[in-house]
Amino acid sequence: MLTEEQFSYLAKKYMDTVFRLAFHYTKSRSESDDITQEVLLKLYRADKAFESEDHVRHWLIRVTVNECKRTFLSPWKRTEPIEDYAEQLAFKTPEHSELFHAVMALPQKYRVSIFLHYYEGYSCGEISQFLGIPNATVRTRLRRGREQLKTGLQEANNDV
Amino acid sequence: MFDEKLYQETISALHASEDTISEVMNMTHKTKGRGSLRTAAVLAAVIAALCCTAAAAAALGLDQRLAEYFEATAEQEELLSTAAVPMNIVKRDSGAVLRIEQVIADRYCAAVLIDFTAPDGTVLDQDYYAFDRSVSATSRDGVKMETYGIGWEVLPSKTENETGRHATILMTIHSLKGEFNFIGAKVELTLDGLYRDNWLEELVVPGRWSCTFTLPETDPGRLCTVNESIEIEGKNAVLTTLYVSPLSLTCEIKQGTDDLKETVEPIYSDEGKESIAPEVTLQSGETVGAADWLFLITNYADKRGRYCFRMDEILDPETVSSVAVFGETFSVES
Repeated sequence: MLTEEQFSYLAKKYMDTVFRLAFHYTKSRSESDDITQEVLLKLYRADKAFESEDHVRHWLIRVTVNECKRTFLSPWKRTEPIEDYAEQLAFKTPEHSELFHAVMALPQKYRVSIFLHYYEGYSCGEISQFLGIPNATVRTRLRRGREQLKTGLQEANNDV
Repeated sequence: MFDEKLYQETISALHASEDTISEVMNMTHKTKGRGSLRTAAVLAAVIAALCCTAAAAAALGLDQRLAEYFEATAEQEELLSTAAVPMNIVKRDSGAVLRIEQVIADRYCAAVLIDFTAPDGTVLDQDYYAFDRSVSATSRDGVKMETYGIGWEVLPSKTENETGRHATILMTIHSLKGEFNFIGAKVELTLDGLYRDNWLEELVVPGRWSCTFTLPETDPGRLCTVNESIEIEGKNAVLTTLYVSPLSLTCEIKQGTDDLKETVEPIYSDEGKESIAPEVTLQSGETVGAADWLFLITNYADKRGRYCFRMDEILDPETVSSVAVFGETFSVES
């Protein structure tokens, strides 16, 4: 069981990681905030001896994936216009904004794999464990995600 | 070429709201060892026990499947039919045919009845399907729909499904915040692939079907302005409006003298709707309780909450004399 201090430190350090992963699943800020809160409460209540901080991070990713899946099993989903959120994010350049929209236009399975690999730095093997899918499927998702992203960005540039 | 650095910089702009962490920190002090809590819990729409038939439905303009879904008596079908508009929108793509047959709406909820025929060789025999979709809607007075919830249910088909290619799917849309009103709203809908579940992992029928339609122009409900102080477990809030329609009962609150987050906490407890416990009293003296909630959403940024219920019976808003919510009774005589 974590002490209050340990929990506070970990919650502050990893809440954005949890939120970003949840957002790659849901594309909804409020849904992602709810999932973040739920996951952090689970961490607080976890009766578990973590071996290291890396272990905690792994655990948080796995619990977030499960929480997102649970959310999506519901026949009912909350949705928000992604443009509203994008406007509030105040990206540094138009390229950042363009990429954000292109990533969010990808199918969910590609978005999540891309986030875990290119942002969180997990290997295909680790992602396959998180998501419960074969290693080869993760590689395929990353490749197809990159291809679709390229096409999406090209189309966006052609539209300008 | 995928620009990893640009991607990392982009995603770094996303942050959990400050409220999330403070809420978690507060709750860890308050709720050590207790059950789950979410700032804005939502629950799926009611799964109706499909039992009641209504022969007059077609004549009244209400689709038989909707009449059965709402368990409407013949009299109640008439009420529902004022909120319904038949459609005959047919869209074809990739060998599949999507037909929007009827829409029904009140101020906060809309339902779209979809008859879907899969291409040859595809059998639709599961009890749940969902479309990937994008929805935008603009009200009669130009207000855009903000946050919304989508639900899917498979209803029994009206015809024999010998080929197994047909599915009747009810899409429900709930407006969760803001001034947007479904009555007479223009809806732009794109359905993008039929999936086995909301997870959108298992694509059953590829294709894209887009259409635009206008929701019924007649508001079947009554909106009553209340603006009275209420107490929820000893904390103060303001009940701003009550809305009664044949489809739903909705109450809206805003922050009173106490912090809204702490005030609405009981709504999301295990007892859930009992904290609100809506009950309608009719002019006849009969009372009608809530069958289930449709959504319970608190928008902390706006300091407002909207809580929507499906009642045990389909109500004629004109016959409702009072509504009891949060332990207090409010007259809504017209």
